[in-house]
Amino acid sequence: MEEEDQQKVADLVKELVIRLVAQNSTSESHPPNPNSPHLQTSLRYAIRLLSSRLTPSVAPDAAAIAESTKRRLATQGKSSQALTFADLYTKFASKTGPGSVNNKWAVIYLLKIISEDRKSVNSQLDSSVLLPNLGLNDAGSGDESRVLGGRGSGEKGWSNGVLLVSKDPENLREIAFREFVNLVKEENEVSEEALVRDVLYACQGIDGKYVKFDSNADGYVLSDLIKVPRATRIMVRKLCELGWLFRKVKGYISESMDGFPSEDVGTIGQAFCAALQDELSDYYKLLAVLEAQAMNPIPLVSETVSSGNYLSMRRLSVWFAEPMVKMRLMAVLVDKCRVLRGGAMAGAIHMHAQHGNPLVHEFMGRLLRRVCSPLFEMVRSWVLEGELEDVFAEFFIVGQPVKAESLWREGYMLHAGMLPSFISQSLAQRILRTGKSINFLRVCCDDRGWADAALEAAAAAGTTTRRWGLGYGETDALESLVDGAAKRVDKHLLDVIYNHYKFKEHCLAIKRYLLLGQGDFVQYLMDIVGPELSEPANTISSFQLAGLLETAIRSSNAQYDDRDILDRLKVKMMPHETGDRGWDVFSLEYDARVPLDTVFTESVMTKYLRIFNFLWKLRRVEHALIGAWKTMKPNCITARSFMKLQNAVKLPLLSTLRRCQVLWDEMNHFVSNLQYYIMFEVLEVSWSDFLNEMEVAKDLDDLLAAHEKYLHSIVEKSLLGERSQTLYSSLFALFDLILKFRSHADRLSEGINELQARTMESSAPSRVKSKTKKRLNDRSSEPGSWISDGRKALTQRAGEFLRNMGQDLDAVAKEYSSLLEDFISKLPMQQHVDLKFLLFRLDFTEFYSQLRPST
Amino acid sequence: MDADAAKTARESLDLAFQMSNILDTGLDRHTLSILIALCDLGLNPEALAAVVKELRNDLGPLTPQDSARHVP
Amino acid sequence: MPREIITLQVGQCGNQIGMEFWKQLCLEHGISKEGILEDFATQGGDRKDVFFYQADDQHYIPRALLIDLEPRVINGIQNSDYRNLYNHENIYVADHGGGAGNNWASGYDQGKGVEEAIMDMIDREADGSDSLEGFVLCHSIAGGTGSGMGSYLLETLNDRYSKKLVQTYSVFPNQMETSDVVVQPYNSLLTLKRLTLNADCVVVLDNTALNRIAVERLHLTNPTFAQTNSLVSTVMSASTTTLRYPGYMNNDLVGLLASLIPTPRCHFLMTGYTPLTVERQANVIRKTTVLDVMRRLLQTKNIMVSSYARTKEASQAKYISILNIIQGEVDPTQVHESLQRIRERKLVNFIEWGPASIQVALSRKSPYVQTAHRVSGLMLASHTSIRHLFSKCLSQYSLLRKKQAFLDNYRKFPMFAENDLSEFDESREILESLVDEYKACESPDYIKWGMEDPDHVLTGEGSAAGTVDPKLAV
Repeated sequence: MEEEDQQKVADLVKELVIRLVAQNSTSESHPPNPNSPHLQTSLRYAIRLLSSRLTPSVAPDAAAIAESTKRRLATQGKSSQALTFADLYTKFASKTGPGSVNNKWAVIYLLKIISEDRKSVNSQLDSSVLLPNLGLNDAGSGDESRVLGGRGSGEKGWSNGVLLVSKDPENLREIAFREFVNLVKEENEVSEEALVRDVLYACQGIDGKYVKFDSNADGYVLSDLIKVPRATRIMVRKLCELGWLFRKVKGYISESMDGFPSEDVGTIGQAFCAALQDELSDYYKLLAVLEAQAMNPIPLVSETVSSGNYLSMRRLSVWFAEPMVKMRLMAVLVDKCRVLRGGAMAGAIHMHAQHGNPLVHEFMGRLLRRVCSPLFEMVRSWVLEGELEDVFAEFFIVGQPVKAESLWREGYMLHAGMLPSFISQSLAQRILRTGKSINFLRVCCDDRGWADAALEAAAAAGTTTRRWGLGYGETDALESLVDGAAKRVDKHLLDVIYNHYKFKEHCLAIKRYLLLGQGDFVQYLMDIVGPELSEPANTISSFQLAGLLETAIRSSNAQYDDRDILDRLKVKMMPHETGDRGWDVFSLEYDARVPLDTVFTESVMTKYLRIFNFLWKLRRVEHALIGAWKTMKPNCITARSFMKLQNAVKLPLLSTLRRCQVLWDEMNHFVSNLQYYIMFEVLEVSWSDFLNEMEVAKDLDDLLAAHEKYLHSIVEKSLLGERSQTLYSSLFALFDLILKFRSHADRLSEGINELQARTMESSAPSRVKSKTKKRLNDRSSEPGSWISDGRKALTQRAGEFLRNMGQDLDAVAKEYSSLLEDFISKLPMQQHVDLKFLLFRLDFTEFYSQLRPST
Repeated sequence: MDADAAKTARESLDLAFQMSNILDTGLDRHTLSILIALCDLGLNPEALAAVVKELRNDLGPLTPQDSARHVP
Repeated sequence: MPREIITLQVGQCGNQIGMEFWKQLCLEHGISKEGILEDFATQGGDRKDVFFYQADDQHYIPRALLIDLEPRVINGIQNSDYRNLYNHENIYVADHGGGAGNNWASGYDQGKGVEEAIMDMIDREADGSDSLEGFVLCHSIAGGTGSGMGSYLLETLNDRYSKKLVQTYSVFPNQMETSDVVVQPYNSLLTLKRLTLNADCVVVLDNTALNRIAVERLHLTNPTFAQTNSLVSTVMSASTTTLRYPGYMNNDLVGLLASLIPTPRCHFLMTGYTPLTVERQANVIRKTTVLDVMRRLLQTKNIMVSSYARTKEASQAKYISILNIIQGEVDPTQVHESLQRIRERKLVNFIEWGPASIQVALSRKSPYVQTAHRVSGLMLASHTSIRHLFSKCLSQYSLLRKKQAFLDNYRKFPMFAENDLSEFDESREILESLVDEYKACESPDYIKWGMEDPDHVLTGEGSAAGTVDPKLAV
């Protein structure tokens, strides 16, 4: 290279620089000072560029370059310009000889590059990106050893006549070369770099130049027109799966956020979308970095020119490994969740979190925390405030409007479909009950104190009770919050039920009045309503009975009971049929009122009613027997001077009386032992169990269960259960027979009284005593059919009467024996309820078991 | 330089300038002539293009990439 | 309608045990000696109106008549702390103040004489009741006033209030020691006739047994009347607890008695009580479970009626009925267990002619009376061995009657005027037939008893039973 040329080049370069810089600063009126530091810097920079060891990346074929340029113009729709260009080029090329341009290809090529550069600047693509490492201030900062190595490798490139303008060792030539190669390759085949770029685009859901979404193939594909190796095509396809997945996820998000009405998505769906969106924005960041890196050459360690871009496809696939996993997961979730909502959605997502891969696990955990946040917030506000903040019906608890008495049982339900599997059934039940307790307190108990309990629970649970403070994976925290709230709210509820609403007192009142525990009250009631109840049912005034009930209360120790309790006690007349007596329809009822009607529901009260009817009947039978005893009590019977009777009357009389007494004794034994059984083995034992269970009841459900058990135990043991029906009807047959016996006994005692009166009258003259006289005077005032008859007729009639009575009593006794035999023999067959206590009492002296073998 | 040669040179430059205009390179005649001269002196047109591009823009050091670009 | 019970306390003994009874009731109901409800007595649950009524000034006044023919005991009451407790209109002391001289006939005759005055008092009390359940007579059967006047009152009540119950707490004389009342057998026999015919229920309080219990169980060397009377008041108050503390069952006297007395004539009840203590007596405190209490109640040593039965007879004796009233904190489930143990060990013999069982009533304990024992129990029972007590009475009567001793005292009075001693004979007959009936109850054939031989019905084995082994009649 000649000295002259060197100087020429230097001068030309300097002028070029001055011109270019001058063009740049058009606003300045003066040409730039050639010695200005700026100009100097620019000049140095230009020289640095030009001195790069650059071999032109294209063949020095001017025609080809011109053709390419022309084509490009044509494809841009500038066909006339293309023609003009072709024409001009032909002329340009034809200029030969002195004065013509020697390196024509270089000029054409130069124009082409400058043109393209300008175009890219115009399209706002920052062209400086292409040379990021060639900052103006970079001069001299290079690593010496690398520079030296670089120069060595560049030696051969110079043979193409490229002038080394400077000794600057930077690898500028490679950059320029690469640029050039790309430009060329775009024409014919697609460079990896372009593919990487397209892939990156595709992965953002954008069609690239070569890689486009094909809806038929349902994926991003590399156009068939592009000639790339099969392996590359496969690689592209693989990499673009990410784009496909992205499209799906993105599509779901936009669909959920925009397309659907929000009811269909719900807060949990929204949270899911937001979480996905967040994941996507991380993904975008990654892609941005990748994209930047795609433009960025890898700093070479070796001097291999073909080292290519930092981001090869292969590298990209490495980069994509993690986002691919995540995106795949997201796409799967999106698929799963498309039709799901609320808790069901959270549950479905949870199912996918059960993964051994820590990456997946961690990713899912993050996602679930977001997704579950609204769900847990619902739990929080439910267990602490009793609020169903569930506008879109996503919660696993659903409420429905019911009457106060049904609130506890029917007001709120678990919605199994919305219960995510990470919340156990038992926890769900506790959650349900806690909020239910609050609502029960609020609605049924008119209580405000629960708020303190909830507050206390919140304080105890600590930070987790902040709004949105709970999340997935904190099931322990959730559980402890729920348990804390449940414990306190339930305790408060029970306190309210026990103390404010006096549950125990009402149970006791029911035991006292409906289960006849208050003996004196029951007795007076029986005394005073008895005559009324013997009337036909349709003639009985329930007002009058109510008055009698009030009297019974006032006359017994019931009067000291709480007025509030007594006011709830009422007479209830059951529907009657023709022929019914008052006895058949009379009963007592107890008005439990809100909130206790949750325990004492209608069906519960129906059971109490049945027990009452049974016990009332039993009492009536007992009452009848006592009444019979009273009419023949010792000083009525033994005071009679039977000695004065003729044997013909005396013996049948004694015999009939004895028959009657012994039968009475047997019946009384049965009835009173049945009563003892009912009291000790049924009522008291059940009650004492109930009290114990009340003691340990932790929530209303426990209390309800305890009461249910109590009631059930009474019903079953009182033979009122379904399986005791035959026994029960035997029992009632016995009861009715005893009532029948009562009327016989009354008839007998009346007969004896009359006989007595007649005997006294007839024997009065023989033995005069003031007391008998007096009695006689009383008696004689009564009209008696026998008095007018003679002594013989008296004896006859008495004998007849006693014979009839004896026969009647024998009949009753016989029927009684067979009924009782039947009843007792059925006792051991009741396998569902232990009746050995009853049998034990009835047969305490083994009277029946010794009797039976002989019968 | 003889008259023919000068004429050829001027015509060549004219032709090149016209092509340059068609390609919208934004180069003036004088600058183009310098570039042609340099090309004839054997300099790599790629390097020359780089100089033109760099100095014409005369932008400062790189600004960070605008992430907005990535949002489709 | 409290089913009121009016108490008649007649004679010295009757007034003494009556006094103790009211003391005990006042304590249990938290009523002061003046009849004012104590401030602490707010726990309620008890029925005071069965035995008390309230005056206009809220004083609680016992439904009690205090009757005596001599003033000593009643004066004592009127000078005691309890003088303001009773209604003074209900106190009757004979003007002459001479008593009945331990003569049944005198008491009976004087009773007849003051019938109007006393019946006025009774009628007034009865009118003051809403639903009078009956009368309780406290008396002794051996003296003059309690036995004679008591007998007269029994007949009158039976006549005038035939629908009302008449229960007596009858103190039987101590037959183990020589009594200062030599005519005791006459008085007892004549009273027993009325107790058999005119009372619905007689709670037999046998002074012999009470004394024995005081000595053996309470380790008192010389038990005073006050001490034995406190045993009586314990029994009386315990036997009325189910009336005063209403529960599920046994809330009225008639219900209580009906089950105890299935056959009208066998209406004499024995009592037993455990654990026994007397006032301020430091006694060994025993373990008191329901089973312990129920088992002890079946032991003869705790029964307040002496057993005069010979071994052979005793083994044949049977319970006609038993009611155990258990007071205190009792787990109802223990009752069944106790009954089972008692049956397993065959601790009790019941009649065979009908079904029977031990009835158990659980009753509250007064919250105002502190006792060392958790559980206490009273047994009321109808037991056929009581016939031996009557036989003893009969034999003592026979001994005296054979000698024609002391009959003049009786002949002074109209009933026995003109040497008409048929009242004695009739009384004896009636008591003998009672003894027979109890004996018949021991047999499974009680139902047929007295039917076979008409002539045997009422005289029957009475005379045979009346002659008692002399060895026993010490």
